[in-house]
Amino acid sequence: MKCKLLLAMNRTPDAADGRSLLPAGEIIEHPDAFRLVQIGCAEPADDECATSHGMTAEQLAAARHAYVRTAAGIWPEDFAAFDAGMMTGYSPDGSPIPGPNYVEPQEEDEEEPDDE
Amino acid sequence: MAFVICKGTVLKQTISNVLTAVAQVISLDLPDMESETFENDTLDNSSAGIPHTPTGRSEGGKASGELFFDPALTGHKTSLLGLLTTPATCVWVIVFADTGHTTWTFTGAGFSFGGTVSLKEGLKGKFSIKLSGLPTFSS
Repeated sequence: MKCKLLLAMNRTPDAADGRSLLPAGEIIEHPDAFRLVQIGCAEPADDECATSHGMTAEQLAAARHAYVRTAAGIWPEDFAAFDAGMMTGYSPDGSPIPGPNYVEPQEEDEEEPDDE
Repeated sequence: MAFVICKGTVLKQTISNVLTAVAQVISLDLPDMESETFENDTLDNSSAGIPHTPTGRSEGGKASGELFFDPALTGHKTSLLGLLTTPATCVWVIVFADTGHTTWTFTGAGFSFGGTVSLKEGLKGKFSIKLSGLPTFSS
């Protein structure tokens, strides 16, 4: 059974061919390849895989979106910001990495003191 | 030296020889590793302290964690609980959120899972991974 990775992924370190990073588009041949499709990191690459995952197109789309979020290490409290495209991940200092829909917060107008 | 944040840390589980991120993890307890020792006290030991000597072996211990559990999610239902219905060794990786994305890679020989259903909380699961050997610490 075959599936095709949708994003670059690491491989088990003891893999026979010694490659640790598999690029997006890599074909995975494995008896449980459909599980990678169900998780959302791959798409079917043969008929057997396409008939084994048992999910609708909507469910697959949701799984793919959720997997990208999971792989980026997004914490549940930031799911909404990630889903809205406000952030794509975290910088090493913990601040969110701005996403395509990020909007710079407006500085509040400072009230001028009354001259009385 | 740096103070490494925890947000962005990812636990990965091997599925079909590919390391896949485990969804909705809230917290992780790193493996509680310990070097093995034996007590080598003797009757003629005049010191009050009890001496110990390392055996040269180390116990990998257990790694554990908590997640928001989705019983319908494939990654939880099939991949995690699958280790209970079909016990097998599994390679896990913790990817830290430091600048170099340091990794700890270890083989899990055993797996346990439980959870909590509470009115005031989301559905949560707790899991534990019994290590076989020690983790490999990436440099």
